[in-house]
Amino acid sequence: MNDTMDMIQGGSVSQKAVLQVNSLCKSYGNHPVLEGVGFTIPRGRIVGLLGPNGCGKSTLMKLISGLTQPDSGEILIDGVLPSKQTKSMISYLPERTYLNDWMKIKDILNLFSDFYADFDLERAKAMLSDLNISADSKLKTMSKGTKEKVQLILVMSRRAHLYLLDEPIGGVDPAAREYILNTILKNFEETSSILISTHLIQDVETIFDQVLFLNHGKIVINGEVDEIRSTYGKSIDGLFREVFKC
Amino acid sequence: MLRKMLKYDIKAMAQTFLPFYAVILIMSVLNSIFINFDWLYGIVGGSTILVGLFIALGVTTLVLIVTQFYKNVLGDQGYLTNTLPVSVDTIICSKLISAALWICLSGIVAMIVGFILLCSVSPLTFSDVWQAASSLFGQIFDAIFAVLGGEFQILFVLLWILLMVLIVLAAIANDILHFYCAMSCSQLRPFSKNRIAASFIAYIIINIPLSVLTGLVFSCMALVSDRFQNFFAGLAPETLFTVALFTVAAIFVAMDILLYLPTRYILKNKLNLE
Repeated sequence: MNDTMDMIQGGSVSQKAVLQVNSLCKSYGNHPVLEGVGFTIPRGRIVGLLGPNGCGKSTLMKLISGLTQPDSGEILIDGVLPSKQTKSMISYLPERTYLNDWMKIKDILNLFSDFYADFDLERAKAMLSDLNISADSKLKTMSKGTKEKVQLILVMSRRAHLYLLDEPIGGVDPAAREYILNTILKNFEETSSILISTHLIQDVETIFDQVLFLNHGKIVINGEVDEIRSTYGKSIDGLFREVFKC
Repeated sequence: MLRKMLKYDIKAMAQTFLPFYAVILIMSVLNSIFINFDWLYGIVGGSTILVGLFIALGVTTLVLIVTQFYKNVLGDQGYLTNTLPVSVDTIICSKLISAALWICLSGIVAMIVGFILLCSVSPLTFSDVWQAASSLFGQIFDAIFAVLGGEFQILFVLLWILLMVLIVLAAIANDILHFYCAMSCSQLRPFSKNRIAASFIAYIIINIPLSVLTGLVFSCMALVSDRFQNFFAGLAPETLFTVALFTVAAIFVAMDILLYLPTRYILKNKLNLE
């Protein structure tokens, strides 16, 4: 309640970053994945986390969502370290399909309603009916693409502080891609922020406010999209191709 | 949150177990009808199928307990399970309780099937068997009371029943947690390249300290009891029996804790989903 009041009055909460990452390091065995990553995401932003395959995007997402622990460094979500509390503030769309095969759509909707106080059931139902997916359909019989859309609907139907979308458009056709981006934009609220990781920049570059270029475990570019465009005189996609030239 | 979590864990396994139970019960009723009509082919066929179903039930119970944890916590579904706003304890306990529940239910179904077949092979009716069973238990209790003879006899019997139930539950939990602990080990760095093989090896390796520890505890107790022979000899038989039950229960609970803590630590700090 207090948080809402602060936001309305433009108080401390609205100025506080939704996500703050400080000198984050993570390695798998002898292989360093993230080396001193640091950045801040203010409220009301759509941020692109861009980088080639295997540059550490998914690891960073896992660390923020609390799925893995960093070797060193700090992550603060609305000023709180990753914990049970932050899991209720973050809505995370992983690369993998995490839906239980035995469930029907209505079961997974109930699960989200049971565990997440911020889950908007009506919003989810409306989006599912837009896609002609019935509440009685079984997840087991759905195609991979449909499952991905269902997962995105579940994730975007929450009113979370921070959305982490790991390659949301990676495996779907261009028509579905458009639907997904529209869904993200439609459900985005100014009080939250979205971090989208992708290597398909051309399709999504128009929706970003800020981009982070991640390469070999380090942030190489971090800035406002408009500033970057004017500084480098290139589109984000063009800059990406230059930075990550093979 | 544990209750909510349990709801989904129990449901997930119900999809397989309930139809299985139904088939086994129907088959045992059919078989008892065949026996009643002395139809030899039916009896042979029915019994073979029933034995097969029983083996399948055992294997399915085992496989489901293992895969439910592996898929739901350590596999792709783990991306949802481990990002739910619940503690690691809630996740493990929910899986553990639901698995134990299905093991107990499978046991009950096995007993019902045995009862149905017993009724059909013997010339006795259902009520005869029931009466025989209740008189048997009555006699056992009478015998116990006769030995005890004291004022607090009923309290002792209740305590024993409670301790025996605790021992059975702790022993079931011990088996389940052994699997969970072994599978969790596959998340650790050097083993995570071949997770399934790592789980198998971890299962065997974990078994070694557990057996050594149990052996050690029991032999220590034998030594202690030797030294305190007079003390134990001075105890009333009911007290001695209570102490024995209590010790066994305590050992099982201690082993459960020994398996639970590393599982919890790995899921909390070393989770490494693919």
